[in-house]
Amino acid sequence: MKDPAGAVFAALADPTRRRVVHELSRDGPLTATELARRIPVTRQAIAKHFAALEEAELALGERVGRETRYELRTDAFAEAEAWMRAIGATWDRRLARFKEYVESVPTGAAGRRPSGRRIR
Amino acid sequence: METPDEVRRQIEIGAPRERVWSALTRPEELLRWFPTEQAHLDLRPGGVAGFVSEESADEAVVEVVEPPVRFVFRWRPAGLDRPYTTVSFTLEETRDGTRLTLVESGFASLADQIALQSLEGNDAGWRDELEELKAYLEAA
Repeated sequence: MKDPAGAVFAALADPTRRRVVHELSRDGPLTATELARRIPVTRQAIAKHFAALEEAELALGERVGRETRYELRTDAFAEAEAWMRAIGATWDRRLARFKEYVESVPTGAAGRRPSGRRIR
Repeated sequence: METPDEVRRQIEIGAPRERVWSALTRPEELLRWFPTEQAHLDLRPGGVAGFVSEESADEAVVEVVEPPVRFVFRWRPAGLDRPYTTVSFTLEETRDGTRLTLVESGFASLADQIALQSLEGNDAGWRDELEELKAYLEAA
């Protein structure tokens, strides 16, 4: 079974691919020629990034005449977003407990200073 | 459709910044709020830290200690050859106490590294690795 969230993060780990994804998300579908006008890399390099994105099932290519137009597959990105939300929710729980703990202990009563070290 | 590489949270705490700093960085206080049963923390850059509970164990390396303003460490599940993510806490004084900003970052490079490992013949691949990571993150 594929892991769309993992594939998304792998795709985004490469700065050029991040740029490709960004352009596709804003203005897709786009061809490699169109992308090469927006990003300072060769059309061939873009084609490779497209292929990687398609392999990871993050983009879908559709042949139009002599060129292939690519667009993002939103389902994979939704999974990645859900994954990040889960990590965020874990922090929400930790931070809520942290706040509760800190506010429940009066300042100055927080306990022993490390022995041998005197404050001030 | 942006998928960020980091998780960012901000909370307001009704306690002085020094107090918040202490609760954040002293192991005996960590035990009071962080879901861990054992904690050790060598509070200096390069210092090693660890959090152990029944469900999970994490190892960490301290990167920045600027009391009472900034505390940064990187961590990962113990015993796994896996890239770290970086956790950064920033404390600001406010009129009513302290604003705490948490950023955990590095998920993109983490996934990239796991992709490389699976290319190198790790059959478990994406799904198991990330499921494990997710479980570890959610269990903590």
